[in-house]
Amino acid sequence: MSISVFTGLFKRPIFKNAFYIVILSLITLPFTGIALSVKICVALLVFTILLGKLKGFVSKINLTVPLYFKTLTDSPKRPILYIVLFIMVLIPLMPSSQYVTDVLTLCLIYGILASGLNVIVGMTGLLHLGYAAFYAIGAYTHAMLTIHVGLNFWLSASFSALFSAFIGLVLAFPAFRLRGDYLAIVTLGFGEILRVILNNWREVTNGPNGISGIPAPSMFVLTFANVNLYFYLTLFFTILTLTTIQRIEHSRIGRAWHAIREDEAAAQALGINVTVYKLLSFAFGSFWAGLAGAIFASKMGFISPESFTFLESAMILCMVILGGLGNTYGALAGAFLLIAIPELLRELQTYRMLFVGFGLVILMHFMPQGIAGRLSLHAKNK
Amino acid sequence: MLKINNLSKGFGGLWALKEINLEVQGGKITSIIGPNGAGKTTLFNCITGFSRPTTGNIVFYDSDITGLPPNRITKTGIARTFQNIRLFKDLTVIENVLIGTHCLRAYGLFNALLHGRHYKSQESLAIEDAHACVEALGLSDYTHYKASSLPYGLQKRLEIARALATKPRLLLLDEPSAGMNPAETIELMQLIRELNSNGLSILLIEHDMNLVMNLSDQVVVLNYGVKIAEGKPEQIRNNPEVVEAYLGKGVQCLR
Repeated sequence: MSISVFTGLFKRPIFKNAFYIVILSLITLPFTGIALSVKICVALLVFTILLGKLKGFVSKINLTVPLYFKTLTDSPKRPILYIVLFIMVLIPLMPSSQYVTDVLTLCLIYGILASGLNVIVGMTGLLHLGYAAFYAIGAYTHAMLTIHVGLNFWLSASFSALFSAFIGLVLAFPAFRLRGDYLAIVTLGFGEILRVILNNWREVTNGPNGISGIPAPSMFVLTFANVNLYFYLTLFFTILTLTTIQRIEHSRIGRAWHAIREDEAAAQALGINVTVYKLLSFAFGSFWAGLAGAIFASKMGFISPESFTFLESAMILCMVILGGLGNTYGALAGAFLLIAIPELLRELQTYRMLFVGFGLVILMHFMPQGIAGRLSLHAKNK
Repeated sequence: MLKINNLSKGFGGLWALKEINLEVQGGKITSIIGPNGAGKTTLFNCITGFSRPTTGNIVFYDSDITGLPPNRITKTGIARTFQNIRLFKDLTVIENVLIGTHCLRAYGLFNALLHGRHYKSQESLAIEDAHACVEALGLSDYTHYKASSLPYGLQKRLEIARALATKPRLLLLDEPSAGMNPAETIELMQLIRELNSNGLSILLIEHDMNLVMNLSDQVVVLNYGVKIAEGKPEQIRNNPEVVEAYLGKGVQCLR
């Protein structure tokens, strides 16, 4: 009798989650001591409950959004996004928040990267494992153009992004015939080749020592050297990225990408030139990596091949998958989670990546479609 | 309107199609029948560019479309459905159909980015067309449902709606009634008749003889990649070669 009560209780998802979380916290006990384990347990519980509430909230929005905005036809109106943006604008104004602002800037840079990769992986369905290479191309191009040529930030950043898109196109030409695992291997190889070149072409890239002295961007009399100003600059670029990607996604181009992901033969039968749109997707996705690279380079003032390893590619891919393949806002959310959570767990020092890993496993277990779920705002799930 | 001259298609040593000559007349319903493995779908694939014919050519309204890629052929006005449904499963009904309007409503990257006047007019036309197609196929109630959530019969309809969104002059249907129950088949027959009465030429592969005999203006019979008969449904029904292909030759008792 008592057992059946227990299992009945266990069937309610909230208790099931709690059960897993307690077990997980017990596992952490030997590494961290009781106090921290309890902290982790409580934090995870609160997190999952909030997540549950968020899910409920999202499904409610589903019903209230007018039908027209649910298709890939119109640009969606998302009031929540604007509220979030408004809060973000206010963050640097709060006292003693330099650290928070700095982390958020990094979050935004990764947000640009994740939403760019989302175009390739999430929308077009081409598995890309060498995305950090394009990030590196953007960063190094920007570094060289500003230091050796003396271009200003704006010109150099746009050129870096365009150059990265061009390289994306060049890589896509031999790769577009491949699909799935094979394409993944080609892109992975490209990422490694680029890293090795950066490490060994000393005359140009200064090898493993990297390039330093990249100037901070400036506009008229304003120099974005200060953390807060740089945050606003990055926020501006993030909004630019999101609007551009959203607009393209909700046009025939975005629809063609989605069609290719779902079924290539059917897409072709409907008059879509699959090759051209795959190339476009690759170039368009790489463009944002180049831009993010330029922003990153002038934020840090220093770049080295170490920042662009395979781990970086995997991390960005994680953000996209975690956020929900094919959903731009999801990618942004994934970036925030994967950058912010390790920062929050700094207290754990060496063990923190262990917990990030655990967190990922749990999240994917309970939300296999990612935080936003693929196109969950577009469709009735019946 | 569609003329197939001496079309052959070989896979290694096997001829899937052998010197097929065929003419599809405008505004008519033409059916292709034949036992399994007769080369019907291969013929469809050759017409729509999914496989390149070994020899021979295909002429559609005076232009040679042999060996063009599928997307170019769709642009010339030939649309097709697939034998096993190939919808964009994760997209909604209206999105599926909207993708069909892709090549009719053209605008570039920058227009989409800046939401120019051209973009807006093209996009609203595309949405209008898509809604018209959805309505014509009786899918209005399911506009915002995921394609994968529809029942089988409706998925088949959605595939036709999506093909119609390309505004074809010739529609190729590959076994449209496969897996449908009798009531759905009757609805499908009415639908095909209706499409045809609006001036659309239809070429279909079908195993349901009732549907074929009732609908077709012309029937073509394939067997082992060879055209063995062609004519009106009554002629086909009484053709001994066709009966043989389907049922086999009568065995004479020797004793």
